[in-house]
Amino acid sequence: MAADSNRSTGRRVPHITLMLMALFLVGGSLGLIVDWPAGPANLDWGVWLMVYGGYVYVVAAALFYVKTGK
Amino acid sequence: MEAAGQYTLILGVYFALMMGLGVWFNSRKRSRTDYFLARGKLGPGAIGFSYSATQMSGSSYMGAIGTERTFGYNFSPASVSSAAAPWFTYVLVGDRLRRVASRVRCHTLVDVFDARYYSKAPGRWAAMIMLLAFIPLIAAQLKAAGNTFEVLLGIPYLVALGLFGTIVILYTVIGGMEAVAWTDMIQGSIMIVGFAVLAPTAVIAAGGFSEMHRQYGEINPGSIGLIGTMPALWVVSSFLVWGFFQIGGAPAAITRFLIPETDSTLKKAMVYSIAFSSFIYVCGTLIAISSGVLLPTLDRADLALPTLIANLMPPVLGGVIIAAVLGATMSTIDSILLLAGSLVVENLWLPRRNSETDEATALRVARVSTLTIGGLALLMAIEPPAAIFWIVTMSFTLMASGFTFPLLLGLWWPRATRQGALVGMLGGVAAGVLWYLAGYVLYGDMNSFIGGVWPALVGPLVSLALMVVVSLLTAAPPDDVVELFFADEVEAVA
Repeated sequence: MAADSNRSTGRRVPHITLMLMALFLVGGSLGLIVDWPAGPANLDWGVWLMVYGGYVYVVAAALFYVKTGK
Repeated sequence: MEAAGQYTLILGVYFALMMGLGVWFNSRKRSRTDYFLARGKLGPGAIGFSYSATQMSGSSYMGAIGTERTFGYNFSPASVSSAAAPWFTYVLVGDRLRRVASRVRCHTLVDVFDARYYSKAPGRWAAMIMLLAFIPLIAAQLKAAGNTFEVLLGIPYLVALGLFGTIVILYTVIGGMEAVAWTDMIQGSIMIVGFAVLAPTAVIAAGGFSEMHRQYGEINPGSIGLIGTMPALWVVSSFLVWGFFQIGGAPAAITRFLIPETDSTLKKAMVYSIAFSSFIYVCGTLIAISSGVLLPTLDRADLALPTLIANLMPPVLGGVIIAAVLGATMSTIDSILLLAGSLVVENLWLPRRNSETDEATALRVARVSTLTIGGLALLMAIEPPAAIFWIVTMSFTLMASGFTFPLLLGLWWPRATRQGALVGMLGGVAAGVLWYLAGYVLYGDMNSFIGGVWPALVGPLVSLALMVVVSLLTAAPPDDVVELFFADEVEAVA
């Protein structure tokens, strides 16, 4: 059974996930050097978006890959 | 009962349970494959937790929290990136590696290199680089555990080191991969509960989320934003390094991809792994920032976590959380030791034997080599050369520089050749080491990098360039190798 699943499905390249990875790396790097305005709770918006938002992005992107395989 | 007595009791019960599991699993295994991989015997939860627990290590709890306490949100992008590491590795490497492992007999990444690069040379060099990097990596974990015992139990560092080191090395020698993966899941669950309690407690003690950040910003004004204490290139390169380059930088964790037999198991394992990592890193950031407020004068950053636990938690609860931290440490050590034992037997000892070797003899050699490497790391931990996080970073740099692109291109690019892989591997390691040395020559400190650019970024990029150029200049790989590794495209097209 396991061997069948290894052999029969072919190999699909997950294009959308690869693009999400590129966005994470390139967008993330650029986002780190922006001068962000002050935000709530004595933190600037950069910390909210790039740190706490970054975790949400990664979890959502991983779930997308698991659900769609794309 | 005094606090130290309660900590001792809880940790004693915990370690006894883990040792019991090791003995029980030992009675079930029959072969080297069972010992090293437990292929097909583990579910997605066990694999996912095991990957993350191995990847995060005691350094994540002791070293990284201490580092994040010092550098604040300048360091947090590295934590986000670390949480993304399972995403990169599962998608870019995991599925392909699992498929290859179903066709080629593989116990370690070196076996994959041997098969892909139709030569023993890249694999042997990879084994030597890994063994070189593993000893300080294990020593860093032992130091983390020794520091924890030192603070909470009040016992001397060397006694703590000997006690913990002996337990974890014996446990690994006895148990093998199935025991390691199951105990990883148990330890992962304890970590979630422990951090779920400690993080909000510490934030409340620091005055609440908003007030904690106001105070932290006053104490460390350069560390409350993304850039300030550290230069932009330091922050950006740490962000790049700790996610994507764990593809090559964490070979012990990558071994988990050789376990599952189906695609769905692997995908579910990824979800467990990322959810677990993200939760732990968010809690870690809150704990680090709160410790900057609550312990502003602490001079050894590595002691931030155990000191916070000792100050904020009742001993029974603190003991459980410390069990979680030691679980992470133990998890990393046992996974690395297993891989090191496997490398010595499968890739260095067995290939030099002319006669057939029976399973029992090979398993005995695996255990003796695991014991030897663990013993060497224990010796190094007696007088460690730097803070935990920076020792781990040096080991990580060697492996990320040497393996990321030989592995990635080997699985995705049919044109990658043996010569390209070997030059890329050695050139990447040399570039990473030279970048360290250049920083040392210029600044007198191994942890200060030219322009703030981490060696673990420079090494892999040099490796990539060398590997592509040399591969294109040398003869293409044999057809049977391309067929073996890229057969799915052929089938998909057909």
